[in-house]
Amino acid sequence: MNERLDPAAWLRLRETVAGFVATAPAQGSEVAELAAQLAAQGWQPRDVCLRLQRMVHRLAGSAGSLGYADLSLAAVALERLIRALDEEGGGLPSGVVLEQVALLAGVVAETASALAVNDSALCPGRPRLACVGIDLGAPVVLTVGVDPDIERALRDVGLLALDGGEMALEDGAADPLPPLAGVIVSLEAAGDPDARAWLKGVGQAGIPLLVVGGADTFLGRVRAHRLGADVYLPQASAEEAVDRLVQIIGEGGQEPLRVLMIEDDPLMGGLVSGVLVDAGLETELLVQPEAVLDRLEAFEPDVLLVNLGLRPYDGAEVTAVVRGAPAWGGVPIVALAEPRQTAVKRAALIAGVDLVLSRPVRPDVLVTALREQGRRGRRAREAHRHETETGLLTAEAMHEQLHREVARAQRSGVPLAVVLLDIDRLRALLLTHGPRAGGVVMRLVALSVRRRLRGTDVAGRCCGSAVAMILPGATVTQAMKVVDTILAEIHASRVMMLEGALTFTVSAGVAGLEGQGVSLLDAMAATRDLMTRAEEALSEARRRGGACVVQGSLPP
Amino acid sequence: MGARGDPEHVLIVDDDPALRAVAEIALGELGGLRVSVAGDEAEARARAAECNPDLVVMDLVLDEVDGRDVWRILAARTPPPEAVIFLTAAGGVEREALRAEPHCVGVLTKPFDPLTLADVVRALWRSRS
Repeated sequence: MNERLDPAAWLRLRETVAGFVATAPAQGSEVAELAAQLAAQGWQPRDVCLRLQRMVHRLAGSAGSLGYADLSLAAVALERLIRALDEEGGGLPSGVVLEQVALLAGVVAETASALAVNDSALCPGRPRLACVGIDLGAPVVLTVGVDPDIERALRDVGLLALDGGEMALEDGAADPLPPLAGVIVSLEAAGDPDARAWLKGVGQAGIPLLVVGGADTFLGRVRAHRLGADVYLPQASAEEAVDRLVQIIGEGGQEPLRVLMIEDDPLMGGLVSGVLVDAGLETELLVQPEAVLDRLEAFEPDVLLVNLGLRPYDGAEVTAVVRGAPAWGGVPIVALAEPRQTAVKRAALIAGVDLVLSRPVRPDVLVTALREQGRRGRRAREAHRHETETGLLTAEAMHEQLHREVARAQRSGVPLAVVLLDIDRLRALLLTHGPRAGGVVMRLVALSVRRRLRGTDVAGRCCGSAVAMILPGATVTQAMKVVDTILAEIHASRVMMLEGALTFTVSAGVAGLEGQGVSLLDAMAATRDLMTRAEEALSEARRRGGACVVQGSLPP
Repeated sequence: MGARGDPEHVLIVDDDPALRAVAEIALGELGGLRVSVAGDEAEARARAAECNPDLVVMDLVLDEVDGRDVWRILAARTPPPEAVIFLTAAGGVEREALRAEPHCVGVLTKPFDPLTLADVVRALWRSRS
């Protein structure tokens, strides 16, 4: 904010923040005292409740707007809980709820007493990184100590490479992070303690972090892990590294993480889901544990949050059921437990809970835990769907995806194109160059295909060595152009093998769903028809001698 | 002063001095709008008489007073402001009920982001029918 303000306004902003910081500790401790007093008196009398509600409301609003996100998060959660208690009316709140009130009030008091003007996101004490507040016109990837080839490869895919090494590392960990699409850092450059602290901030902010370089050893991998790397690629080419970063950015940027919360107490459920939604997590609250398998299928969560004290089925039993379901055996599960229930916690861990948090739980701790576990869950599910070698979707995942996209295209009436690519005379190529050549050629095709994918496109394995691309929203004519580019790139490339240069060609068939008539078939029949037409087109391309693309017949 | 399609004068009514100040900087210095501020009903009336605001940004909870009542008082003056935007807490009073208030063009949730406040206010102002 400071870059865009004139000095007088900047001074006023600082004064405003300073004024808030000077009064916040008193407000925070008054909130804590009132909350304790109300809890001791069974949440009575009402006028004191209202006074507390107003105080917390004010604190929540001003803290957030003045750049103190942590204080605001705790105060908003406390406000929500107080309002829910007020709306419940009568009846003594449960011990769990009162404990949560006490904890949140404590966090508010503690955080408010520790505020400093320079900690505000609006008036940081140190200068920010240079790219803050400047519209650079493209997503920025900060590189630290990496090869210039990587910077070139970033530019090739439309990302702006910014050599942030000096700025980021000199300024240290206290700096707020600029709006970055991702960070690529070399293991060597990340050895410095300042760099480590700064990179920790990168991880906490949820910015994709790719670590490159170094020797591919156990120690190297441990160091990359300690830096919070999303992916460590010790010996990748610049293109592979950038390709992988784009993939992670795509995964992270596409959709918010999804949390399925199983909690039978609607008051706590409402409070917690409110906190999660505020933190940008898509949250579904399930009050009946017996519906968990249906909700898993429908909502496809990245992480589960389970109350261990559910009735009549406890959290460990719910966990055991989830772990037993073939498709959901690996979904991360975070559990909330009462502090002294050691046996319950042990049973939950044995049943397969990944992390147990004791109640009352701080909202920031819960959000961080769910983000980390959720990211792990999403990555694991994505990895399961992708081949390690080529980064393409597996044939099974591709089939599911195709069916989904066809159904979507039928519903929306938006066109859909499918491309099938296959390597010409693969058997002869393997006989001449040996089996290793097959893998090399396949990776090259996969890389070329993946570089042409837009956000909604997918590419995966089809039958045998064929690769399929699904291009939602594209007409057959548009898809033909994409294929022409891919074929030209592949045919121009030369692979160096021990026994000399290897060149090869690829054939392709394109078919599409366009116009009317398509919706007359059901999704299953339309998928079959689409694939048959693409296969026929590919066969025709082969018959013509390969190295070309053929447009398939029109839909029936 | 403002670009075409901007409100001529915005009146911010909020009882929290820190919030008032940051909203004033966000809309004024940062957003390039002409802004006045008020902390309560009496001050809101006095400021409105001076500056004839065409847009009011109104906190829903003003100490003991409901921001909707203050808005109705301001809306009854001549010339009347064209539109109001209510500021409320996350998960507070139903947004739908607030939107139903006469001339309400939007409801903003606190805490707001000062960096984007002016853009949001402009977009809401332009959405009025």
